[in-house]
Amino acid sequence: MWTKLANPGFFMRWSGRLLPWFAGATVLVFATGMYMSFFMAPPDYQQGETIRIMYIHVPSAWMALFLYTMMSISAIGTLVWRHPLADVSQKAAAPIGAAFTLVCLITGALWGKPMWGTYWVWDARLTSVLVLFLVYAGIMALWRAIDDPGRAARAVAILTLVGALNLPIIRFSVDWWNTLHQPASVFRLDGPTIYPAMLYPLLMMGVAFALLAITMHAYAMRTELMRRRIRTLNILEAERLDSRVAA
Amino acid sequence: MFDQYAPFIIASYAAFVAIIGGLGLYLVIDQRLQKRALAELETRQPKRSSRR
Repeated sequence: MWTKLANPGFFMRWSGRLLPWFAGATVLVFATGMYMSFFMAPPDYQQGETIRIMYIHVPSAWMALFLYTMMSISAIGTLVWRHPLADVSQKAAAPIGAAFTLVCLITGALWGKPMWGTYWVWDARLTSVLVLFLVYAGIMALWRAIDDPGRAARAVAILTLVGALNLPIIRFSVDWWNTLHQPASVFRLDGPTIYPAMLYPLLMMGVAFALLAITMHAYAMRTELMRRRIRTLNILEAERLDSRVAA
Repeated sequence: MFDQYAPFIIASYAAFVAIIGGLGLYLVIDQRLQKRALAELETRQPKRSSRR
């Protein structure tokens, strides 16, 4: 089954069929999530209307971590199994993860200013998310620095796995250190502590962001597969011209 | 609407639209360019002839 799924042709065929459905579902769930966030969720008793920022800040943070986790799994796929789609998946996910991390950092700063009185503090959570963004940027730079996709994939896979050490630091930074950032209020062992009228819109936005990330990722993977096909055809053409000149 | 916090809320959503919208636009343009280049290259490829 895995061999069949690993086939780029199979991926292109099925992603082509499924992408319009995913895009449609993304728009629908996003519209519902936005309606719930603005018209159904009440203002917070302490933070007032600024709580509306949470509905894009928190799902962005989830996607930043989700995409990096997926890249780490792909990195293992590249290094251990040489899975044909693993490095394509890794390369396609990096700019999307970086974009969500940037949204998380900017919206966090814009939420921090009215609530904490400052846009930025060198707090453990904020700093570790900034490090995540820099790792994403480093991965994107490394892909561009090495011409051969096979060599680039292995180098990037190692860097990705080293960067994965930052994931538990981000997750538990609010528990391990005294931070200005609040502790987790949704994914907790004893259940969410957030008021249900705010939790449901947040979860709906979480689903919308996940659909958006998956749609963008599959779309970017298709583009990357096309880029690799172009590279192969260019090499074949160059070899053909070379043999003609030699003859 | 949004009291005195309106600039922060609007700026947050604008940043989201600019960053994710910009990325989406880049992805669409990039795929169109690759599709065009691939179509051009595939038409230049020699046709395979069947051998008996």
